[in-house]
Amino acid sequence: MAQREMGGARPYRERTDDEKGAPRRRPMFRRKVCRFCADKTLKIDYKDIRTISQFVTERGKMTPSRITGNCARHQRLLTTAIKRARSIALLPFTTANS
Amino acid sequence: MALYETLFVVHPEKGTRMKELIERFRKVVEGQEGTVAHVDEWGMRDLAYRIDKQAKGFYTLLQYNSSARAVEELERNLRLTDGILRYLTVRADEATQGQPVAKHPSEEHRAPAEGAEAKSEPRT
Repeated sequence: MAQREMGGARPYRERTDDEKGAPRRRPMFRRKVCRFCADKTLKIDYKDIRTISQFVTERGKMTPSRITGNCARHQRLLTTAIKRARSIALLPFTTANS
Repeated sequence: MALYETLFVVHPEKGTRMKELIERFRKVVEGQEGTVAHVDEWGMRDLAYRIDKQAKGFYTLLQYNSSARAVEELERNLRLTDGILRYLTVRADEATQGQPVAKHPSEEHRAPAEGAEAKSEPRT
C-alpha cells in the first residue's frame, strides 16, 4: 500500500489477473483470404474497373493488402492494373480537384 | 507476333469521326502485316479526371495480332492524330489469356462477383 502511494510509475506487478492482458493485444483475428486466389475466375484487368475499384478508396488511393488480405502476387497485379486504369482516365489519381 | 491491345480516348467533339478513325488505325495495323482481332467501341464515358478541359471521351479498344513494329506505327499515328486524349497499349496475350474479348466496364450487365459484397463504384 505504502509503496503504491509513493511511486509515480504504474506498478505492473500489482495488477489483478483479469486486468492483465486486457489492454494488451488480443490474438483475435480472422484470417483474410486473397479474393483472387479464392476465385480463380476473377481476373485482374485494368479495363474492369468494377472489380478494381473495390480495392481503391473513395479518394482514389489503393487499399493496402494488409486491409484487403490480397496475396503479394495479386496485390502486385492489382497495382499495375490500377496504374494503367489511372493513366487512361478510367480511375482517378485523386479526387481532390475533380 | 503477339496479341496487343490499344485503348484510346477520343475528344468528345470528334465523336462523329469515330468510324473513320477506327478504320484508319485498322489500316495502320494491317499495313504492318498485323491482323485486327477485335474492335470494341465503349462509346462515350466519363473521364475520371479532366483532360484538355474535357470531362468525357469516346473509348475504343483495339485488339490485334501483330509485331512490335505495328505497335510503334500505331502509337505514332495516335500521337499525330488530333483529338486523341489518351492511349494505352498493352500486350494482351499473357494477361488476359482465354478471354480476348474485353469486359465492358461501363455496362452493368456483368453479374456481380459471387460472394463478393456489392460495393458501389466510387464516383468522383
